[in-house]
Amino acid sequence: MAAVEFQNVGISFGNVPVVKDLSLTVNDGEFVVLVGPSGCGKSTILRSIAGLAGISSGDMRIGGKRMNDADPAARDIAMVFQSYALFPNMTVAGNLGFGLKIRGEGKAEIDRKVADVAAVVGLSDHLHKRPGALSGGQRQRVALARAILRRPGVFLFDEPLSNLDAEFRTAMRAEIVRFHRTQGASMVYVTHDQTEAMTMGDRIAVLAPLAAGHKANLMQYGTPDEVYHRPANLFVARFIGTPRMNVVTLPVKGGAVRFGGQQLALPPSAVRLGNVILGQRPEHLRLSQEGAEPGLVGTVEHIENLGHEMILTFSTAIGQMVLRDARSGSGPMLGQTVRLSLDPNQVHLFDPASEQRLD
Amino acid sequence: MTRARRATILSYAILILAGFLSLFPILWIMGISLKTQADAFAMPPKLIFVPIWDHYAKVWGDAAFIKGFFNSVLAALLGNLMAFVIGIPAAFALNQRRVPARGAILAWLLLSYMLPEFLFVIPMYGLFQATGLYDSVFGLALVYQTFTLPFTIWMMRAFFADVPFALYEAARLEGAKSWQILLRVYLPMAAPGIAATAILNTIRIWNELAIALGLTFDKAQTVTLAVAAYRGYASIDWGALSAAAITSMLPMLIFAVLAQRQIVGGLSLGAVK
Repeated sequence: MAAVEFQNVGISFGNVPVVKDLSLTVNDGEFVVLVGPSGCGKSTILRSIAGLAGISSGDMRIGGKRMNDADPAARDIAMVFQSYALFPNMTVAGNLGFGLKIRGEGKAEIDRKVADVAAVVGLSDHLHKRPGALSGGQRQRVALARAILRRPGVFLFDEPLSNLDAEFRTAMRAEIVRFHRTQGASMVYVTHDQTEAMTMGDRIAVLAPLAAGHKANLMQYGTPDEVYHRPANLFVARFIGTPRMNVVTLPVKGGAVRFGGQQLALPPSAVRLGNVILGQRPEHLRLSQEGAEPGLVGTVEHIENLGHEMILTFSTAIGQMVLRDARSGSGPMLGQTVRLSLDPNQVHLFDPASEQRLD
Repeated sequence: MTRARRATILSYAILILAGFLSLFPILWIMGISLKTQADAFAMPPKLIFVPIWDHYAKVWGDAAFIKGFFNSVLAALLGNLMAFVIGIPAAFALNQRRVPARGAILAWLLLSYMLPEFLFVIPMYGLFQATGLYDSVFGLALVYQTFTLPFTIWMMRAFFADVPFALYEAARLEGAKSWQILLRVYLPMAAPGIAATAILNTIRIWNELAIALGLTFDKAQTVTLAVAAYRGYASIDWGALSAAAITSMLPMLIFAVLAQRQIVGGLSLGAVK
């Protein structure tokens, strides 16, 4: 096991900065997911841990040792690539034993270790096959087994499930989490899929692209609950959660904002502002009861019936609002006009200028 | 007749014409090699004749031709060996490392492959006389590097470029050095590329005449010179010349048929990517 620490790390490709001022610690045995849209630097950060991308400034430590310039093989890491990076000219046994052979271990020892790890990942019957003859899931297991054989302090995963179909992805997700529990090693996992991020990580680092004008990549680093229920800024609020959080800019009047007829008192940090950005997740938005509190009038524009729940999209005077309703089949009809109200305990407020959370 | 059918007939007609045009000279020479002198030059040409094997017996019994044939085999082996020993690491470095002006280097390699062979003969003549490489198969194979080496580097780099870079990175993470990655990952994966390059190099070396003419005299004469030797000062032994030409063609013909897939693969490299 080993901790990974980034201290003010910057990574540039030529003159183009990709990662700026990154400070983040992956604790011993922790499962951290790096998530963000394309170009946010998540794979570059992972590759910098592996030694496949150079660090331009700052320090990166693995197990307390500065590793900025260390050889990839000396970093106590193993990596599972998005493409699995299996050697197509070798059998599964050859792929698994490759590193051991390079490190000069004896044939009998290699055979024993390969057989052991193959049994762990359920590949014992496939050792003689080449990667081309395996399914996507089996290839994934070979890649995982190759990583296990290194007995590293840190496992790195670069979008390892993105090539699998949806059903298998769910199964492999659970398998990797189980694997983390049994191995106890630190794991850094890159994905653009927020479901993977939410369901797998002990902590999530939400990253944003510098090209979109952000001063640094790291937008928030916290547990899935923190990131979901207390997004630190508008970027995280919008990025995490499906369907996305409803976000509207409302004028502040008398220390409150109005959501249609519904009045919401603001915290002291927000009352001095001219406008405030208000966010509410679709599952917290409510359909008002007839004759109940006044809300915002909206017309049903689109209905997605998912069986166990409905996703309703409304057009309103202040923009489109999305509501997730668990009462499948009993909601309003398409084109029907209803009144929407906010759950005042589940409102997220952001400063329009800095886009940071207001509490 | 439908338009598609007309197009099919037209393409077959063109193919038959092209096939006839390329095969006719070979068949004609083969005919001469199997005819008596009188039959060979009879007018109108004799299409029905009794084949004779005298010319082949003469050529296959001719020590100078046999020596030329095996000199060419040796020159092809040595030429390929030198080209791969130097060309493979060069191609790997060009592909894997950040080489300044890589594009210009690749363009120059292709250009030098196209330079006329005689360009090298005159400066090399003096050098080879001085160093004792004149009239040696080793010397010939060395000069053949002027075209085999750039071609080998060019081809191998293209084949290496087809190997996903993640494999290189995965091997590095396992602790493999660059040369180990080259030997254990890249070369096995680029094996069809090596075969295609070796075949194309061999064909070029086998058919080479100008350099062999300028830089050999007796000991290292190649098969092309041995064929040309039947063209005497005062007369031409057409029968033997034709038999020698057909004999010299056979190894490449067999080679080409056996390795057709690799040759086409090598020639169409990068055509669809």
